[in-house]
Amino acid sequence: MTLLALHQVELQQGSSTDLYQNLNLQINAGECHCISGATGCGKTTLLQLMAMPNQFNYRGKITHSPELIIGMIMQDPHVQLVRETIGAEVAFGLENLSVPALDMLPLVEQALAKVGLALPLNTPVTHLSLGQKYRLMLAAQWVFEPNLMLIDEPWAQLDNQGITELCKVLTDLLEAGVSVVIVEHNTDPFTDIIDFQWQLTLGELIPATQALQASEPIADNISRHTASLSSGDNMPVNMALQQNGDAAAQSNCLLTLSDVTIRYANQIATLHINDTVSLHAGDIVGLFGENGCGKTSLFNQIVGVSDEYKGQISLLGKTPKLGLFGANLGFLMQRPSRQLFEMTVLQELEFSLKRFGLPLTNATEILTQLNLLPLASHSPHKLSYGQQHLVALASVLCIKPKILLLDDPFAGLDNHYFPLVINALKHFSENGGAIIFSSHRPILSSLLSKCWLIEQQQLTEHNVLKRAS
Amino acid sequence: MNSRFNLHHSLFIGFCATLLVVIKSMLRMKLGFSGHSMFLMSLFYLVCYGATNKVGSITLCGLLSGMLAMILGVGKGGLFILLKFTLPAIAMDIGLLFIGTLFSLKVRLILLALIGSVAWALKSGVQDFLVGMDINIVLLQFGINCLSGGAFAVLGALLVPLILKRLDAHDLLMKNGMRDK
Amino acid sequence: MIHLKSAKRDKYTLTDLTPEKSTLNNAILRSKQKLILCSAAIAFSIVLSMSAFLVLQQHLGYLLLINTCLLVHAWFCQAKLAPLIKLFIFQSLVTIGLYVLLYGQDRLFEAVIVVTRIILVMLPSWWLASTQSSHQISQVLSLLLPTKWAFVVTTSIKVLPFIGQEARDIYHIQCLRGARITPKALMNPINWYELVKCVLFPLLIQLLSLSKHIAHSANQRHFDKSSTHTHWPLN
Repeated sequence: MTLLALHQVELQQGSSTDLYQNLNLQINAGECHCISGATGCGKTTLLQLMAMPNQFNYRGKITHSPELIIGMIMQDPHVQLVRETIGAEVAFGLENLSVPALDMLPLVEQALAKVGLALPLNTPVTHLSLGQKYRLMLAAQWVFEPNLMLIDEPWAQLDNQGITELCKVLTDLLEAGVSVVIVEHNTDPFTDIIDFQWQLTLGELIPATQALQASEPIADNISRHTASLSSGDNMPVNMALQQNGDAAAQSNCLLTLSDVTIRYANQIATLHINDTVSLHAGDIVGLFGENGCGKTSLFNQIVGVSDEYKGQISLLGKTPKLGLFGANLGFLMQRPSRQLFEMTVLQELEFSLKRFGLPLTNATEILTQLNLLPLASHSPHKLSYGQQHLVALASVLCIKPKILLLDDPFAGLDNHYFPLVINALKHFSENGGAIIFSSHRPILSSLLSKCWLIEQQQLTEHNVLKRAS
Repeated sequence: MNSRFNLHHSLFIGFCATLLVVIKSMLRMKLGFSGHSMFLMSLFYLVCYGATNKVGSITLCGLLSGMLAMILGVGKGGLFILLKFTLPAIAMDIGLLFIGTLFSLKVRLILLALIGSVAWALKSGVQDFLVGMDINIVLLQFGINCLSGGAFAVLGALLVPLILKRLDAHDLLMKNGMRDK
Repeated sequence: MIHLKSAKRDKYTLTDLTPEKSTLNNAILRSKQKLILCSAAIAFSIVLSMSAFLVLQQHLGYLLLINTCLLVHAWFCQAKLAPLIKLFIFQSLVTIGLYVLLYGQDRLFEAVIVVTRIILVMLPSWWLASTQSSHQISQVLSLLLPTKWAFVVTTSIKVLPFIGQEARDIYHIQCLRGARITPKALMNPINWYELVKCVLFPLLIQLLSLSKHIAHSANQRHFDKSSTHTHWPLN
């Protein structure tokens, strides 16, 4: 049975450009489709178009079967979880359908059981891990008993544990005859469940095998998607505990953390660093650990945004305090697009340069390096997500700090922007800058000088045995 | 009024109200200067008006911030914090009915801010009068509040066109948002 | 409008008393009780505040007694007395000061009565805020408000920590980028515009996008489909 079909669909974005030119897709019961494509090519919009065609001014034909009930999961859990407890969250949809209060209870329990969240109904949503929140969003859709589930980019935000759990639930759904459409640029973790794979290129959907031949090769020697599900949570590279006593390197040490214990806001979980870990000029350090293990919190301590720690942190020979390091410290937070405020991209870069009294020519230099010069006079808020990300990174790079901290800098970056960022970081480190970046899965092993791994609330330093490049 | 605001507008107004209450609770007592809350009120109320360009948005923002402040126990809490936020908002909306499209955006916003601060001072005045305060003292306090509240409110209002101009430049104003001519 | 197949399949009633269900029953009853108690507390505090305006001077003593009880109750609930004391000192200084300034010592008693009344107007509100959880108060308000505005209020409270964190994050990142918005720099009003430009403005953009996305996802869960909504029984 065909649940949903797109026939020669065209859609314009804004006033000029064609987002889609000739979209054709047919989804039958029990099928799993996966759609990949570059950032900004309209993957998310495509899901919304499928779910709510009447909100778009499209040409062509979109057919919904009379039996079709759609469940949709967007990227950001913050946006979709609207209630405080898990029971109320799942019941939100039922409230809107005027289901009597007492009839809600069994429906909510069933939905939660279906996604493997057998927790008390009044469990606060804030107590859940990101993976659990994701499954809660599934339950909140499952309560409508949908026969088509649309899922937007789960891989970028979930850690491997979360992806494994999600795949299990999706397998159950598919077995129960529900169709699934996943929009995702890394399809590896889902290969076992995907029936049809599509590539969204130039406004058209092409079967992925054809598209792969046509696509550009990704930068060499960079394993973007190293952590596959089959290999579990093992590190993808050979690592050995670092042998201390590298005396020569101590001279240009920029950051040391010794015997540090970090307390989070809720005062319960802590992150310990028992030994001394350090960062030297030219180092690229990967800070890896699952969602919620304290990576962001550690960054906040290092830059002096918060001081909820015991022990010793020494950055450029001083105890961190906000505003103490000026242009010597560059920090890129998660979702860096939120720091943009100037009228043009160039002004955005020049802001810090002016404030720190640095030469304004740095701005054009970095823009050229990142291929952003054509955008210099554009409004940063009219750019795509990937471009905004790059502009924010450029605004930090252009002050040429001694230390650069990047919190999850590759989230949501596609294969077009990814190599650009990598090259910029390589260039930065070759010129003596030190970098720490975080990610919820080990990546880029070939680029790292060492990695800091957080496991069971312990941060340990490892040497990375580089592959021959 | 209910159906005139779609959920997107309503939530934006609600979040502006939330931000207003959050900032107010952060700044509370730090400044210790009567009238500083009018700065935040006029700033956020007028941003709501500018972003939605609808009569009623200011009242809604006022009501919501009052309710949020009451729920969160910001300030002294209770019914009076509700009135404190709502009355200036209602007055501004009523003022808007009269000055609607007159004057330039900047002058209009300043006038609205002044109307709001008079209403704000009036609320305290009436309250003082009701508890039996001497009329001369009530008038004196009313005068002081009008002046200090008005000064802060105008300061807030002056920032609004700058914000709206920026939002507009980036195509971020909602469909019917206000564009400065 | 979608219809749920299983809604008819598995009816659940309060008489169904397996051990698991009876705890659920208790939870439902408890949340109902809490809701009623909170509504009563709100009504009581409003009436008490109003009466501070209205009661005659000779009856003010009774009101004072009731309010003292509230004070003790709130104190037992570990409420913070500091804001109340600050308010008391501030009000006394201003009002009594003005009376003394205008009339000398003669009408000092009148000034004391006025200050007492102002405190009695404020105290029940403070008691309400300190003894009832914000969750309960928002639940009561949600029942009174139209569905959409109830949703706006509860969502605003839900996203409040997020907005607060977002505000802090943006402030910190702009500080690190060299913006003149440190507390010291903000002593100079010229730098206020910088605060608005590089913190408030990006924050408003975040709020615009947040409201758009939440509205979208709520509507996707049929929020806009019907005018009548039911309520989840467990609070």
